[in-house]
Amino acid sequence: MSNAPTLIQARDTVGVKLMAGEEAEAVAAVIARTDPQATITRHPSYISIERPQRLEFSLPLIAEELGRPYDVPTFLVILSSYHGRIRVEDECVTITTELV
Amino acid sequence: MARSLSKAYERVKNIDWEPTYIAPAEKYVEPTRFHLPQKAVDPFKTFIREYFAMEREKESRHYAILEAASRFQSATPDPRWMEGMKFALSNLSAIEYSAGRQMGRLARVVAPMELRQGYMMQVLDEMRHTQLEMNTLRHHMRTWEDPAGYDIALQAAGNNVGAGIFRSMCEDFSTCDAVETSIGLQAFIETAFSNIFFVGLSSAATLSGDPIMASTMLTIQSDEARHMANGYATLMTLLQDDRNIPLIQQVFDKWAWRGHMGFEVGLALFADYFVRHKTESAKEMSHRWVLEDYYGGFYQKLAKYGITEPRWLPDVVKNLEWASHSAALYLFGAWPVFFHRYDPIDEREMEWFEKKYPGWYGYYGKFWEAYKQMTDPDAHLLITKELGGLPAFCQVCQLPWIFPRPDASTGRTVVINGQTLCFCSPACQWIYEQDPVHYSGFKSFYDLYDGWDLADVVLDLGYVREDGKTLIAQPVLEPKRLWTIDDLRACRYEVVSPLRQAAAVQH
Repeated sequence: MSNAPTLIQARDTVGVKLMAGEEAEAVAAVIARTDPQATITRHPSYISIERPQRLEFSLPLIAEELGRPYDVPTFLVILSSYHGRIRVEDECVTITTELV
Repeated sequence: MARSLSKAYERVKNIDWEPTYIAPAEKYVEPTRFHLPQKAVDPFKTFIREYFAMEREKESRHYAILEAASRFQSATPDPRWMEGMKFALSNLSAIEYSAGRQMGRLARVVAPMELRQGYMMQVLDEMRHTQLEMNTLRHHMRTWEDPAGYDIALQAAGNNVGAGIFRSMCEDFSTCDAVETSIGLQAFIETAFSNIFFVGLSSAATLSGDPIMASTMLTIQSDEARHMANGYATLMTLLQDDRNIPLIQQVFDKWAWRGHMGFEVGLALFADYFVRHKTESAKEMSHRWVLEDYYGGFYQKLAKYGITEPRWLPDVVKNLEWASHSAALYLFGAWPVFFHRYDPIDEREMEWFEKKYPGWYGYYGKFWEAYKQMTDPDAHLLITKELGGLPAFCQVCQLPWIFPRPDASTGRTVVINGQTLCFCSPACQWIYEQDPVHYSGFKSFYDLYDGWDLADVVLDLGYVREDGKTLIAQPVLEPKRLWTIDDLRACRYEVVSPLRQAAAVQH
């Protein structure tokens, strides 16, 4: 990497944009309760959740909040976008800053 | 969940076979200049059963909204937004279809099974997006007060001069190395730029009273999230082999500029000039979504592999200062050759522009004052003609030669093999020089219409209403009477290729 001045400033925030609605509200409620470092912003059509370094979405906690079963493929239906690196596992979707 | 996704995925990804009905040597696989390792990782771990269940759920939710909107007419949406959507949806559905075709190529060329599976799902996604956009077009055509323009939107994607920008970009990634397509389309266009439009402007759609478009945008973007992962997975696979580094750098250098001109400039024009409920400017959106989130949050991390800042990024940043406004001069200045009604900006918006882009009035104010005076069809004054005619178009990106600003253009003409070519910028000239054959055959507006009366051009394009003489495009939302072909002919404007004109002066 050259030492030339760069226009790019390193940024270590990750985030998701969720389609507004009941499920997004449940996700936001879980995050608000369990992750004090997360910032939740409501827009007219979507909810933005951002956090430094790492965001974790626990599907069992979201299911409990919703009061019904909830799985990864259904969560991906409302996940309109993200920034950071995504990892999809059985009961958890994680967004991190590092390259994986 | 009864079944473990991760375990099932491990089993499924090992299922692969070579067809027996054709010898390996007979199977056509496009050559690629990249080195492809066999091992890859798909961070989304999507497989077919979950994929279809997920997409079915997305479709059910979206089409329920479309059904509701068809049954209950809600409040009248914002006319500026609805007219702008004629141009936006026309181009979008063509871009999505083209992207779908590319994924089939990638699935053939890129060997690792996990990546191929992701590409094949993306083929289906892109077809779904094309259909979503076509259904939105159809809904708007049936419900909007002026359907003219929506009815010919798909035809217009193939013949309007502004669509040349998107067509040339799609043709570029249809014909370049398939692996370059993955980086250019998935790792750049879909990851860096698509959020501005599909997420950022979905809120503008809601506020403009167009929930169908808001839902279309967000459901499309939920697939894009997987496409970003496809691009990322391909890129990380390629980075395993050091011989790929300079090749990847070259692709980044090209597409950072190509994607900016071919896609981001159009998005900026839309965000600044077709959204009445303005909050963030297009420049602010690009800085936040692209420079901070994409370049800062992702691209910068590739430095450890030896990837450096894209060569033309400083020019991109300079261009962002004025790109939307220069693009607006073109779109509004050439209004008769498009197919929607225009809503010129008002005093309040001028103040907003001056606040968000200090110095704006000095550079663009005069145009808008002139534009407003030339909307009456009886005056026989055409802004296109009074401004000195249409500009020359860049041989690579097909944007006019007026960027970043008409008074400070980076455009140039270059004689190559006896042919005079125009480039909007040093970056597009550099792209051309990397692979001249790739760009030399693109037929521009002037190759088709040089020497024609503008009225005949509009007739040839088919941009007239059912009576065969009233223009689809109108310079204001509610003209005192609609412009016709006769009004346009009375303005006596002949299309003249600026390059031919310059050559004639020299001789």
